[in-house]
Amino acid sequence: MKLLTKTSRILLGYAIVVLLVSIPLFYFVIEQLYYQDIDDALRLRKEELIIRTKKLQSERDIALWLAMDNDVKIGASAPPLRDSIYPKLYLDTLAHEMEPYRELATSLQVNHRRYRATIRRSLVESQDLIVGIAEVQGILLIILFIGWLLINRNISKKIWSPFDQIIDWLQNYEVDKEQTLIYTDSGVMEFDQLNRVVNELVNKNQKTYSDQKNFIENASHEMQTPVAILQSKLDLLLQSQGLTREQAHHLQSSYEVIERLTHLNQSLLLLSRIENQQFPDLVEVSIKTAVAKILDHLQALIDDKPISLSVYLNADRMLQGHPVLIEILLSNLITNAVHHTPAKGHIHIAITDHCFLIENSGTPLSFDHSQLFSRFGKKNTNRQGVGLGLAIAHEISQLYQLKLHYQFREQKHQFAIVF
Amino acid sequence: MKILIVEDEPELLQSIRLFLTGQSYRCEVANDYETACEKIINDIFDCIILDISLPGGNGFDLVKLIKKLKKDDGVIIVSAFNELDNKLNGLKLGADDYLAKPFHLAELSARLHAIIRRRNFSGAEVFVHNELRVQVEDKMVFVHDKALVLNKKELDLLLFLISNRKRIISKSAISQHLSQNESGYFRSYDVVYAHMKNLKKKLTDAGCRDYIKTIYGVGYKLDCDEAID
Repeated sequence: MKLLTKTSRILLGYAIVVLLVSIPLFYFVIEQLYYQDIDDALRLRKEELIIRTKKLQSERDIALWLAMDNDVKIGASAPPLRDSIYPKLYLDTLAHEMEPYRELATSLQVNHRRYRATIRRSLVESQDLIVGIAEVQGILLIILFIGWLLINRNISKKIWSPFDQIIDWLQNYEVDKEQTLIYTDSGVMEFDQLNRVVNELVNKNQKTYSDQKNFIENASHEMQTPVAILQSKLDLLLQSQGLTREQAHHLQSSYEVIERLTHLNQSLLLLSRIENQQFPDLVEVSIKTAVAKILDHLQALIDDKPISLSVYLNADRMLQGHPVLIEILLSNLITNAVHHTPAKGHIHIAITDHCFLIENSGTPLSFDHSQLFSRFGKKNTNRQGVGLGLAIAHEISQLYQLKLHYQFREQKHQFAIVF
Repeated sequence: MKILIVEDEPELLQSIRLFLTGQSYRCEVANDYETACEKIINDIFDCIILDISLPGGNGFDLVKLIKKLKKDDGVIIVSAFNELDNKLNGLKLGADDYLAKPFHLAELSARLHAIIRRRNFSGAEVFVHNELRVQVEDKMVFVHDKALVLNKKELDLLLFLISNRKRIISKSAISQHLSQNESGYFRSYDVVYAHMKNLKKKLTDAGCRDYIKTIYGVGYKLDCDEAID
């Protein structure tokens, strides 16, 4: 639930409660005020009655006087000791229904005789008035609350905009890209604080990231410089006069060892860089083009071994990834096949809509095939490799959420990348 | 040809200097930023071989300095930082080439040769040795004045041998050279062997004598003592 909805709901609930309580309360209060008003009027009327009736001389005068005012009655029944005001219903002769009245009963002295006098006043119009007033008040209150909610909603959107900005920024944030920090002076303490904390976090992340990157770079530097020196010395040695067959043989062995060392170093660096997600540039890479390029490089070797190669590149598939990594993934699988196919063997490569498939003839693995993709998991019988090629392929396919499968059937090793 | 080698690792510096001196280059050396600066400002070189990480400064700044001084010296960046960023950065600043450590001296020499050729002869270099004639920039090969068609790798191989002629090139260097544009970390002597076999066959089929000598299984040499450039 959105924060705004949540606060609005609470406010709306409160408004409903207030409305439900206030409308009847309002009605009651106004009614009471009106009654007080009427009662005051009745008392005034009584004073007037006392003054006016002083002039009356006889019973006949009284009857005549009473006939003039329907709302005043003077009767012979026992006069009350004190004045009292009460509500009473009278039959309306025109409408034939009972109508509410307020009535004041008092004792009145006319011609030295005490009478019971009542003065009444109709409440018919007043009730309509009270209901009208209460209705208008109720409507006003409802308008007030609705207006308040709408305004609140609008203002909230404006107030929360710095927050939305921060969220947007964080969503687009990538640790490997240099980005300007967010700085929006929202004028709201909480958001400024959030800003500050986010900036601190980002700075920390960036530092960790660059430290790690530097470490990898430095490790590479430190390891490759001695290797470079060693290799340059061999290059010099190779040029020396009177090179004998035996010396040449030792040189060749040293070259091979250095190549393995270089290869190993680069493979380890590559693995750690993949793990650290240091290949951020994603582009569309055509598998077909990449495979064609790799095969072009290996063609002479394939022809020479010889290996018969059948390739079905009818479909093409674009993969999202770093071009170098996609190429390494395919290259490692293909060179792996070329290496392990015996002379006069066969390699079959196919790209379909949902997978890349490579099969090569050969004998079954001498180890458990769960070891196939592990680092240094295999006995290194091949002098050229360092045992990391398939581990790297596995790591890359994981990075791009591709599934890399292996199976051995019908005397063929089969690797498949399922898109 | 005058070369400046800027490299802080003394052993590597010495190897490069010895190798290039052997190819009749005149070599100046600098092993830190300050010395390099001084030599760049006060002298003119055909090419500068430049390490990126130096005591007292950064090789990229030296490239900037060269460009700022409007000097025409060629620049090859040599770096252990074989990250794409560094390579692109170096080339963007105006370096002519980039070589990641560890490299073979034959590779460095070939790159150096290419830069100097482009600068000094506007690329119009022709290698002639008896019946064999190679127009380096056009990548055309002639045997007895008849054009010979080679594929990309074979041509690459022949040009590499030519730029390191009269010297033994290790199989390792050739293997690295042939796979330099491949992303895979795959190098194989079998590839070298296969391409070499094809190249030799094409040359001899066209009536060229076999000038490419195999040296005890460790490398090859283009034997052309009397060749004219």
